[in-house]
Amino acid sequence: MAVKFKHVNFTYSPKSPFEHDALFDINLEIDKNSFTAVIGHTGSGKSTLIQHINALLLPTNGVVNVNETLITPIRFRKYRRYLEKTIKNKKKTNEQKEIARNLLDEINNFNPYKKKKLRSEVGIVFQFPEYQLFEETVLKDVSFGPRNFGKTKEEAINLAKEALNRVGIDETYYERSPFELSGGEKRRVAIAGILAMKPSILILDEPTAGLDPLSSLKMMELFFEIYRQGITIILVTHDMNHVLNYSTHVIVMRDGKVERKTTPRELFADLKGEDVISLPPLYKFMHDLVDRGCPLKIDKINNEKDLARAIKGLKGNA
Amino acid sequence: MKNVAISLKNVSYSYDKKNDVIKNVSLDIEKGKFISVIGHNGSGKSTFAKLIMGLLEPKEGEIKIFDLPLDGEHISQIRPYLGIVFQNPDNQFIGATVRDDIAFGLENQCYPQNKMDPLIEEYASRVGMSELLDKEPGNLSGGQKQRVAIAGVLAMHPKIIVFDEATAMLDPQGKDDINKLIELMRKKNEELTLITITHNVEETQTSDEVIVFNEGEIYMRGKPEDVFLKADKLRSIRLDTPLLYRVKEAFLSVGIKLKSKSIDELKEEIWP
Repeated sequence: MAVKFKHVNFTYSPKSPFEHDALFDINLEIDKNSFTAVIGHTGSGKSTLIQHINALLLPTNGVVNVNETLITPIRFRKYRRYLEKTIKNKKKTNEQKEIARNLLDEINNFNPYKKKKLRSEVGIVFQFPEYQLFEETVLKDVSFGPRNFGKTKEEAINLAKEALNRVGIDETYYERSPFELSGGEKRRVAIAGILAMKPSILILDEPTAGLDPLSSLKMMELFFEIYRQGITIILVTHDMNHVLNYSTHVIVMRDGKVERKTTPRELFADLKGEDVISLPPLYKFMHDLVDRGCPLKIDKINNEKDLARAIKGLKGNA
Repeated sequence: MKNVAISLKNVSYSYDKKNDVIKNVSLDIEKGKFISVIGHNGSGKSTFAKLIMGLLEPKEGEIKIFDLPLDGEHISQIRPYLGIVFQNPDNQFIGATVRDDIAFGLENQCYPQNKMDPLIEEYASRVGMSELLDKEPGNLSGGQKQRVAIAGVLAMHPKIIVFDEATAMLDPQGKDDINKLIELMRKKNEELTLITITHNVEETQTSDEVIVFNEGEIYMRGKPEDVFLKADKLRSIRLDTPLLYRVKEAFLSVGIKLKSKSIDELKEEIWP
């Protein structure tokens, strides 16, 4: 398992007039080497959720376990004492005590996270990552990350070259300024900057926003290739075709809670008209056929060919 | 030539004077037709749109709108014929309320004030926005904003309306709203020539003709059913066909020939 959320709550600006609860009792596991899509409306807590995975945000309550190390709301030992007190406190409800016991269990089994190590293991590609480029040359920009995490200059440059090669940027670009590249190229350089740190978990926050369909397809193929090389991918997206075509698991967020965790095919098979998602056209079409009384098993169908075969089979039996 | 709304003769255009993004394109678009233009970024479709709207001037060749050359001399004569709906609904608002916004174009044309209100109300109702006339545009959804923009364009009585990726930034509901509105506009006024520039092949199926741009040239042109039956030719430039054609193709590969011309017919045909 790569990531585990246990009873995580998060409140923005606590004890201020802007106090806002964004996550409620999140319990969630994300497998190693999975490709997990996170979907839900704007404001459902998707971005808040992913920022917990590399400790950009700390839980207000609860723990996040990333690669067998724990992210806690306050210092590890202090949080342990707080939980032990909660269990003994007569004013707390049985439910609160049970949660504290669960969390204590986790704390007794794992060690606290180390910020630098965590940040190199979990790479986040934010929306419009091209705005984060800053160095004079492409090669310098991409090698900045590994340098920052303690690699020698030579190691960093080798890692940068490898990462650039992965995203399809060749050596003629190395000495160019990142600012004179096209939008799509900039984005690939920015992604190489994350890959150069060799993360084991890669988080992508709407990485294809603003790209045309072909560039978007190429970008998704790149991430799928990275996933196949053994990196855990967590993708925040609104594009249901991406969910369908690339992900192995889907997390549906709603109002700061995990509404369900499932597989894309199950999601599209029984979550018809729901407003969190707009079905890919093929799935909408199949749901309409089912509504007409066609006994189609939608969760068994991947594409138009499967549909044609399934219908042929059904008609043959009739 | 009376029935030709837009005519291009050997038109080329380049932004940098070296590489032509539109290469020697000639075509006629008949009056009253609904044309969809598809292609990838860099295919030339957006440049084509800018050329016919008079926002760019061809490097070579000639463009005529209703037989008038689209040049500096005639542009002010041609402009009232042309309505444009742009991609980003937020960049098109001028008025403080929906009503003011629709009025803006009319005021510009010195339309008499006392006749303006009924006209605004008529066009607002055509786009389904009657109840929101006194709302601020900022509080509307993306689809509603585009509908207001369309009402403003319609109120000017253009003969040609170009939708330049007008649905690209909208959610599925908003896209659907606009496409339904386009259908309605066609029924209401058969003389109106409509051109949509789009990424989304699903939107092109109800059009009279589809024009596919690739590398600055017209790659394919024809009725939707003729263009989309050549799936391999489209896929070779990495465009896909709409769902209707993909389903028909898949059924054909298992030996079932389907005749339907729309998704609704298709459901009926597959499972009566």
